Amino acid sequence: MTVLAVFHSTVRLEEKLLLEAARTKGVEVRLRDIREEVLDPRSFPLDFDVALERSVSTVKGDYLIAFLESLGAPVINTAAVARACGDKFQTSLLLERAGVPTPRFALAFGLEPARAAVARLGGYPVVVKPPLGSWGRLLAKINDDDALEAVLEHKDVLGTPPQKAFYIQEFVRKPGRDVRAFVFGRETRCAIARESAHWITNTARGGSARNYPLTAELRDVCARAAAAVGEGLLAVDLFETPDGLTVNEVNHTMEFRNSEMPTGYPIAGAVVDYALARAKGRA
Amino acid sequence: MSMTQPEILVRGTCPVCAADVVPAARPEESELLPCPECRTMLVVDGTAGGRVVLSEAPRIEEDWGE
Ligand SMILES: Nc1ncnc2c1ncn2[C@@H]1O[C@H](COP(=O)(O)OP(=O)(O)OP(=O)(O)O)[C@@H](O)[C@H]1O
Ligand SMILES: [Zn+2]
Repeated sequence: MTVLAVFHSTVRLEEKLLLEAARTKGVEVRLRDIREEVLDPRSFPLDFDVALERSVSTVKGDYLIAFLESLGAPVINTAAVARACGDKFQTSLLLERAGVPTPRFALAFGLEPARAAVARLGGYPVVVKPPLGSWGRLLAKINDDDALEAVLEHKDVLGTPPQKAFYIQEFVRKPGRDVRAFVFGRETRCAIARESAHWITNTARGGSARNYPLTAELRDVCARAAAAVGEGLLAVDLFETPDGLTVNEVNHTMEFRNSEMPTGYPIAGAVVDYALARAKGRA
Repeated sequence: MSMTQPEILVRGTCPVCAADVVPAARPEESELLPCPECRTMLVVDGTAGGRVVLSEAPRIEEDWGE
């Protein structure tokens, strides 16, 4: 029987849904808390056929993936995908290079270059984000030069080193919602629209989710975005614009608790199936 | 791993305010739950003597997320 290892830290509702789905399918699951593992290549027990990386800490998850890949163990997602998606600047560069529609963006390390970047992106408003962040934390919509100066000074004085790389994106005027698509390989399986009166629409920040139809355009843009970052189990975030869909970012440790209900798609079960199909000897 | 004992109602004590905490049916190790009284976020460490062992959950860190 195939053994699925789920490498986790804090167990979110998603991890519980994955466990439940695996148990329902009669799959043998090894739950392994990465905070208790010793990543020693000479003694690490490879007592599973495929691994799912579900760490809530990106840094720890990345190390685990690199480690398992070095031992030749199949792990989802791959190190290449984790690298591509873990950092917003990396993701944007890959999307841009592949010609996938994505908002204008730039990276700068100081106030003057940041001002110049804003001008090149078409002026205010812009959004400044920590390149490594998630859950909508520390996102700033910046409407004028004074605010830019204040926010960047705060980052410089109070921030950690990664926060001193200023990732700047054009502000996209979206219709009170954005779109999240769940993409397996290159195939979009289901999608939601996240609505909120606030410009940050993450469901982690209180946005509400409803089903979004799988249009030909959505499937096409998502397939190209997935190919650009290396294919895996991905949550692709998009904005609707008058010129069509544009990809904001791609997440590689998808949270989906609010998406199974509105879409009617069993995401947890599909994740387990996707992993099993990549188990040793089957890939 | 799983601490399923469906017949036994597992309970724990909040390490901050000592409230009696009743987790959902099947608590998993490392699962989060808020204390109903003081609202501290707690994490399930395991079971001991038929009770759920709870401690304060780790604070969200900079690299946490999807
Ligand atoms: N350039 C932008 N223009 C308009 N709205 C934006 C822009 N960037 C982000 N947002 C809004 O803020 C939300 C969070 O942004 P983003 O997804 O980039 O951050 P995050 O912290 O990585 O969130 P997560 O990884 O949990 O999806 C988006 O869903 C969107 O609603
Ligand atoms: Zn309490």
